[in-house]
Amino acid sequence: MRWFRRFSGPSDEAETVASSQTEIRPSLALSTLFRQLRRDRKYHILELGPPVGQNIEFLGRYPCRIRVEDLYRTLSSFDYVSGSDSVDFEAVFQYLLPFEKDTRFDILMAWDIFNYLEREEFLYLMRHLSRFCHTGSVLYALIATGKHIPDRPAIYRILDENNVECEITTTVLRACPRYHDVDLRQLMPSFRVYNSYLLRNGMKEYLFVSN
Amino acid sequence: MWKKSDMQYPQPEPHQPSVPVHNPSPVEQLRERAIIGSSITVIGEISGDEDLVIQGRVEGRIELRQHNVTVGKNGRVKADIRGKIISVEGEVHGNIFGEEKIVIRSTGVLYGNITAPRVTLEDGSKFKGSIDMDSTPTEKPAPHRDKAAAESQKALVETKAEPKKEDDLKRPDLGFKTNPPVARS
Repeated sequence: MRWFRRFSGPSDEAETVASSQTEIRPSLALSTLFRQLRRDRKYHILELGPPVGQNIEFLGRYPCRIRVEDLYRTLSSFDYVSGSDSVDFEAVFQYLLPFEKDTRFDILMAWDIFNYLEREEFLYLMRHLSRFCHTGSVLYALIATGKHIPDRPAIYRILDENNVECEITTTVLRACPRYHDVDLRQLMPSFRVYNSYLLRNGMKEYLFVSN
Repeated sequence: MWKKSDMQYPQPEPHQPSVPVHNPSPVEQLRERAIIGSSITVIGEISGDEDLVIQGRVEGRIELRQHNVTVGKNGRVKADIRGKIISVEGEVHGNIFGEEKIVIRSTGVLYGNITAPRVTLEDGSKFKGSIDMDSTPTEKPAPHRDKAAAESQKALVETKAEPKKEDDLKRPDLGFKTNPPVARS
């Protein structure tokens, strides 16, 4: 799916669910992550999801600097329309996520954004991000394993160290790219899986660590 | 069945010394805050000794460390803002430094960095930038996004081949370097 198609809305074969929904679910990966955080150190966090007050408030309990990028909205509003397939994704991500050269993130919160990227986009995004990580940087992501996913990313709110509220804001579904572990190894060569948990809703939550 | 312990008895209010409370009159309130109306454009530096409400356009710099700054729904600001409590309901392009608190309302749009001990982002607000919740706002502003973008573009080739710096190893260790536990499902 190219940039200009992200806006195209549901396709003919799109399915819908009855209504948008909110659910609270435990997150073993996040509790593993938060257990490691210390209050005597300052963390640099990259939030790739939308700005959610509750998450900022929660993360603000730890000494940290949070960079909010809202990647999906950025990609969706990116004024790029081309019939050509030769997109310079490296330059695109340099433009969309312009970090200073010496920036190093300790924690990256990707939530479910990877499910909304094509392989090439995913690969170049990770290449770009890995330049701004150090050995031991941690990335949290949710990878969908089912056939369909909501048409746009959900909003995740951290309730406490162990629980997350997930709000799906659309009833339209789209096909899921279904990235498997093998794909993830290829697309994220500078990260390795630290642990992963299969959730009841078919999502797999991952903690990746930068090599 | 009611238990005695379930019953709520009104507790006597603890005696508090009476403190004279100053309730500013509407006239005083008006005097204590300046308003830049929706048809006004200010280019330059704003400083002063009262709260400020911006409904118009401001470009430059706003320096009101001891006072509150509100960017109203119609307000459009292209400036760094320093204030005590800063509330954004309109649009701001620039870095903002709050001595006490920064609030981005649901209608607010901010492209820039935030430094304040407390930050509130309401649902629906649009924000791109960094949030630094240090207890003391830093004097040195972080580079603005545009500047960072230019630098990032320039550094494209340089960063490609650049090995990770030695001081990367001094970054906070999150303790994830050991062998991972077995994945569960």
